[in-house]
Amino acid sequence: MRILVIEDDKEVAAHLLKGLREAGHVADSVADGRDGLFQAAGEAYDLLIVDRMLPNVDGLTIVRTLRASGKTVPVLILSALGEVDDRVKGLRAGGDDYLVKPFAFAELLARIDALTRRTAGSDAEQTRLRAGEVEMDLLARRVTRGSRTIDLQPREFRLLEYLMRHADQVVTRTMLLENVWDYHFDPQTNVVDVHISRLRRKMDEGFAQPFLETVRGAGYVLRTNGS
Amino acid sequence: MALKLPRRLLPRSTTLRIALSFLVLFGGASGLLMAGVYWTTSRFLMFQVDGVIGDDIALLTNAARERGHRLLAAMLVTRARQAGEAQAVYLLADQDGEPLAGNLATWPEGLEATGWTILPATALTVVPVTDTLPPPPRRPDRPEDSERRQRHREAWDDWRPPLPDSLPPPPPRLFADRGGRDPADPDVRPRPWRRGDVRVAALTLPSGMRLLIGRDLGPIQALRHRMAGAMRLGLGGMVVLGLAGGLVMSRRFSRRLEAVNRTSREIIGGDLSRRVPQGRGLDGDDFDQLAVNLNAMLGRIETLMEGVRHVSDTIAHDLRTPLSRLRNRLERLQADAQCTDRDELAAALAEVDSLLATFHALLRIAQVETGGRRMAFSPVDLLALLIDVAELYDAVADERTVTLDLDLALAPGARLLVDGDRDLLFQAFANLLDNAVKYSPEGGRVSLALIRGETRVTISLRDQGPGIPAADRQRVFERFARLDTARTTPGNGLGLTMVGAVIEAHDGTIALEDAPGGGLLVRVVLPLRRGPG
Repeated sequence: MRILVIEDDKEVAAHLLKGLREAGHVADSVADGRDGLFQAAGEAYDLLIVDRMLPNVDGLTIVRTLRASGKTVPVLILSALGEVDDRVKGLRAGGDDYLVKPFAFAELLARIDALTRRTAGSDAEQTRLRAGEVEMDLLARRVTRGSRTIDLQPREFRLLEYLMRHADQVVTRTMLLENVWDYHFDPQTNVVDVHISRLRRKMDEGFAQPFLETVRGAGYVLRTNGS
Repeated sequence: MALKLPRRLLPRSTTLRIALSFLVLFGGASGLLMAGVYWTTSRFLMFQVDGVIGDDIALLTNAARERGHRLLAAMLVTRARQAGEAQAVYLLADQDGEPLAGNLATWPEGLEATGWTILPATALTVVPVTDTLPPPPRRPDRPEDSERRQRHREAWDDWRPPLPDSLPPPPPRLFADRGGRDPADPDVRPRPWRRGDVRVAALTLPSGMRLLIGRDLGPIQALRHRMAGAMRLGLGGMVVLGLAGGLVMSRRFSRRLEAVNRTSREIIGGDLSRRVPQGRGLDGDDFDQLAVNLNAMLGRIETLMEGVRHVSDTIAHDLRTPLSRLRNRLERLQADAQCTDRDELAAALAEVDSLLATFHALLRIAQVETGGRRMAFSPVDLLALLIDVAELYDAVADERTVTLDLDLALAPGARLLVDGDRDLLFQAFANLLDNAVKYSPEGGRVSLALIRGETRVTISLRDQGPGIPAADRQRVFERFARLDTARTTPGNGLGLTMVGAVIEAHDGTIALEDAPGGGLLVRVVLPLRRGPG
């Protein structure tokens, strides 16, 4: 994917470029708001990573300007401010996702994945989801793994649905809290892990192969190739 | 104010209250003064009437003593004629009250034979002057004649006319109905014999004859009426003027105070840049000076707040940047294939992350405390939110074999709206539940109950943990306050600080108590959203 990073902190920009290239993306970086805006408007990128605090033109203005001119390219906003309602402002300005610095790189990659997958447009209303041997019928609200039907609570169902929709992508705990529970908050203990282990117990009962993989320091991934 | 009126009868405006109390005070004082003037005047006039009657008595009785009853009768007749029927009444009667001379038809019924009194005019029947006293036999130089005169003198020697008794106080007519006036003609002098009273002195002469001398009180009554009228008018005018003045004054003051209040409300609402209108500034009146001082204070507060915010932003930015870089390097080292010490690196990463989390929490708390998020307030369904929190932590409770009870006591599908920030409220209740579950013993029970009131909702959370000693209950809301018993549990000591800040930002209260049967009872009270919806 072609990704443009608009970030004035050289260190952070270098770190981002290195990490993104290692993950197989093509990445450019610009350190100034105005140049970033011209570059983003003039060239075709699959994703923009925009810092909020930039010289000349600030990040939110860039996003607003792009959106006003009809560009729908996904934007991930970065912010070093402790301002919590920055998230609200950033999303209102037209950002698709928001990440507060400092972030774990795995978190950033996971979110990039989720963002670009979302815009891949394969989201014609599906009624069935498949991931490996796990199948989910969204209408009947039925989950089967192989030949076994698994009885899930509503929240577990939503958790599994999110994991399946993002199969083969790393999904972080924060992403799960934001998307499955729909709250932005800092859990004191790792509540998400507890819910995941509950789901695992139900899903893996009678199977040798765990259906969900834990990625250390990042989150979880649901593999489809059954490796 | 010494007036003990029920509070709800008093106006809320201080200035109006002051105006009213001054009105009451001055009105009362003037009322007293006028009443005093009225009373002394009428007493004085009464004394005058009594004096005149007294003089008459002295004159007439002297004449009777020296020259006998004939002369007395003759003088009576002259006086009655001179006086005219409106001014004075005279009557000489025999022992049985049969009239002998004067301008009254009969001795008034029930009138004592001796003494002073006040009679209603209706008790007297005035007639043209009569004189029916038989002339004395006139046979000069008869010895019995001088003997008779001797007896007459001796009889008179011990006789004293009655003194006026202490006067009855004037009738309280200040605000009474003015009865007896001719309604068609309210301002002419009242016709004395149709209204008003008569001051009367009655004497029994040594010979047994009775004498009555009376004066019409009509003029006095008329004067008193006029005085009362003037006073009523004056008092009325004063009340009207005082009320009008008070209203105008209080309106002016309350308008200016309202300007201050409005600004204060806007500032409380989170807009620190508002200022009170200063009028003419320091050259102006007290209000203008108050405004100047308030504005100076506000400016100072704003500077300080900006300083605080600036410091926290600086901390956020300047300290988090190096930390971020540290984190990035550690991450990169970890990803490096050459690396052999992955576990050490993971531990270092975890340390950096917890440092960053602490910063993040501190900044969030500072932000909540300064009210920067009030702009994002919207109606939140507290019921759904609590169900979500409970559901999230139910799994955690399960792991620790703690039972989590939810007693919402509301019909399913009911809504419980509060004005607030959904994520912050979730954070607060998540922290509370987290603590409750964390400190519960294995197999313990945590219960979350909700009581809906008229304007507020009470959420109580009870656990069976060790509780918090009463002495520490205020302290646990401070930053980094960790009780010795909690030193071993994970956490940064900011959880309850966050809860306190969030509840405060939502105009709620939080109290820690002993749960019956041990453990901690947390009671959160939040105001419900006003209005429909």
